[in-house]
Amino acid sequence: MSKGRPEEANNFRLLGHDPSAAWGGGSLCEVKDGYAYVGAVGGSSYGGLEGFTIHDVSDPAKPRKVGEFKAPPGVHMHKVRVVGDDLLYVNSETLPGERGKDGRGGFYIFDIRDRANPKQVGFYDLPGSGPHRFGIDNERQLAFFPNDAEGWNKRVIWTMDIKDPLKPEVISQWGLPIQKAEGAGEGGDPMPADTAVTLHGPPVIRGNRMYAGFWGGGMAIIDCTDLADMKLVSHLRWSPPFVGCTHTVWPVGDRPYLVVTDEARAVQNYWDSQFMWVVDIREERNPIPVSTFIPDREKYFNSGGRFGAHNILENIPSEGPWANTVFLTYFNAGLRAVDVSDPLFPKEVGCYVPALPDGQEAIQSNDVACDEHGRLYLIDRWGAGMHILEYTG
Amino acid sequence: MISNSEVRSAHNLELIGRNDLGGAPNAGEGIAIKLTKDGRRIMYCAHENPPMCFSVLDVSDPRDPKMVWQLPLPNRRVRGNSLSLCGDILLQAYQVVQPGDSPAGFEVYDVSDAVNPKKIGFFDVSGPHSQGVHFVSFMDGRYAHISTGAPDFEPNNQKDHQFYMIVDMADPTNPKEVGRWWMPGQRKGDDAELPPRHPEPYDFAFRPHHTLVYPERPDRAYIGYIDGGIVQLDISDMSKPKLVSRLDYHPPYPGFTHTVMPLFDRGFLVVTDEATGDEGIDWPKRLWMVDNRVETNPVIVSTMPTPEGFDDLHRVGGRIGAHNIHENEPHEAAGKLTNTVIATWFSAGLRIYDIRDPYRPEEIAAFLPHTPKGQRGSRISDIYIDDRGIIYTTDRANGGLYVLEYTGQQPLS
Repeated sequence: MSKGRPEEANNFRLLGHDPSAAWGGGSLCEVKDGYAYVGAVGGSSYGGLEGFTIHDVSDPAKPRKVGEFKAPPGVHMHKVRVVGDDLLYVNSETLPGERGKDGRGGFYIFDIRDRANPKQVGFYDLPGSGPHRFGIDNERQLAFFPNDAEGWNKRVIWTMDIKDPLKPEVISQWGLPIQKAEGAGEGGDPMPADTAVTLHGPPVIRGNRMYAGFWGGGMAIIDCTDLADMKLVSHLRWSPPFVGCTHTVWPVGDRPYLVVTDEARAVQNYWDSQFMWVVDIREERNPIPVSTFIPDREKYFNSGGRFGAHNILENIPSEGPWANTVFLTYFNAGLRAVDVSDPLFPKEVGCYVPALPDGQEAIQSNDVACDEHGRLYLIDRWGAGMHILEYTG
Repeated sequence: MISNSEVRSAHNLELIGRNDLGGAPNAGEGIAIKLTKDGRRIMYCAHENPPMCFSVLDVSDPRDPKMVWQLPLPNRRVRGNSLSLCGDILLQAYQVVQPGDSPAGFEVYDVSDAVNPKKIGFFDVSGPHSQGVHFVSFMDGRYAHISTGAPDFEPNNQKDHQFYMIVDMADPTNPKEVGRWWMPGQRKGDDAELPPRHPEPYDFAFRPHHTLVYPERPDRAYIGYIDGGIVQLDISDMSKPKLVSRLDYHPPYPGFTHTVMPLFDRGFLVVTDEATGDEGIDWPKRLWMVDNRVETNPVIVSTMPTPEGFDDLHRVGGRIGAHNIHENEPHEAAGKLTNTVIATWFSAGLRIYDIRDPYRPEEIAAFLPHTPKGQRGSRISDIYIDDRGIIYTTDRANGGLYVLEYTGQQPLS
């Protein structure tokens, strides 16, 4: 049995801990009115249940589980998103191979007016293996689903109108030109190889531009003035030589820079791949990577599990106390706070690595959420559950 | 005797020698050191503007460099901006201000008597649109790689008057062109079009600056093609150089890719953008680390840190920003650096970077002399480190040659 290790904290303070979040192994988390919804990674490099859990976090010092939804056989429900005030969309992605053959691909629609007791009120079917990390733009009332589609190879962007969130309507499907298929196209690849060209992470809109990461296919800047007829502005790809897995592409406030993460996979760790990039987009037709952020490699590389980037808090303001601050999850290096005020020199300004519980092989910080009080919710995927934090930097 | 009153600031670098080049200004760019059979170290230093062409110094005692020979330019309409040494042959570039003027080309010297260069040949490229040669590189003793005009090359825009040429020096008295490459659209009559010109004052032209070919990789040319960016060519067939890749990062950056130096063992390029604007109006002109493991997809990963005190130095006027680095020419008397970059920054002096972690280059040494008389700010412009670890750096205006010793903990390697 491996021995535990105390937490490591710099400019973060632990407010509370709930190891039961997502049965120990969680993914996307969203918090609404004192309730946290945490999607589970289930069998994806963990041995937990599929589905999601609900927690009362109104007192951050005493978070507790108040409900759960166990997935039916064959699907992965690791991504939850609050839609409007009273709904929750949760993905239903079929498990790889034989295990997923009876799975239904698409997404669940839950009514969460009773916050602790989601009630399923709908299901939207999607082809292929169903969606991975989708995005919701509540301001514009849009949803973006990475999903297989007819005429495309691997996952593309499904942009949906969710003005009536119970009845989402497809506006368009858009992929990189190299994904266009002769005929029906190939999909059904929920766990693509690092080099595959496929939409994996959440597209995001700023102004009339959409930014998206295409895994082994790099990142794209898309003109979405007309959502039904989006056009590629530019495409940047650093793999090869870098290992692929371009996951999240997020603008820094209203500044002409993007933060990009390449996800570390379970297969092997890379000393110099799968980290965070800063991309200069002052000339949007010629995006240029200018710097990277990697936490102390000497310290973390060999401390077990994955070492590499994954998600960020999906909001990087350019004003206010968190201006230019990226909250980045880095698996066995926990949560890192990175200041990108000077895009050429990202600077670490804080970190939180949860205490390693006895018997758990390594911390694997997987995702991070935020509530309206500015509390951060750090989600582990190897058993440590959810840590509620205050950033004091 | 060295006076420390000449040193404005220094970290891990000590000034140990000086030479005013006989009062001749405009030292650098182009430095090479020859190790003679009797163990002397003889330095050849080009002057980039009139009145002098190049100077020869005995730097056997680095604390007492002595000028032993100097060649003036034939007139003030020509500059000798670059030189290159291989064995007993020295090439010296000639570039004219007016297209059509002469001497335009490069001169070939026999330096078997190291302190008495003997002219043995001249490669003439003069012509109606030609302004001669800006840069020469001659590392294998057989082929010279140059940035040059030619009598048969008419650019669409006169600013783009130079291109890349390979010259066979098998008979050094009679150099012969073997091949050339230019950016499609540069030459009158091309079907293609150049990329959009940078708007003034950032139009630095589409022409090559450094054209580097290393003996360990004879089939590749690494070119800073100024506003054309980082150009890598396949020259396995020297008569038909072919583009491998061109990385153009300006805009958003201002332009003037100057030096592209490969670190073969590490799969990286060190790239500089030359600062040319007075008052530093063309900032940022920086140094970059570029991952080149897949040469068709070079990727910028980091930039060297901005010198401390930059804002104050910027206000002084004159140029400020990157320019030259030590280029690892395979001379017996040259240092070879793969974990370190030594770079010149004009009015921000000389800086040394530790690049063992290419994602986080760190400054480990700095040198800034007091501004020489008659100029605003230092103009530290070129640098060469010898096999003994002695660093030679030149001021592009009136300062002459500074000889430095590195005193830091981290070895230069």
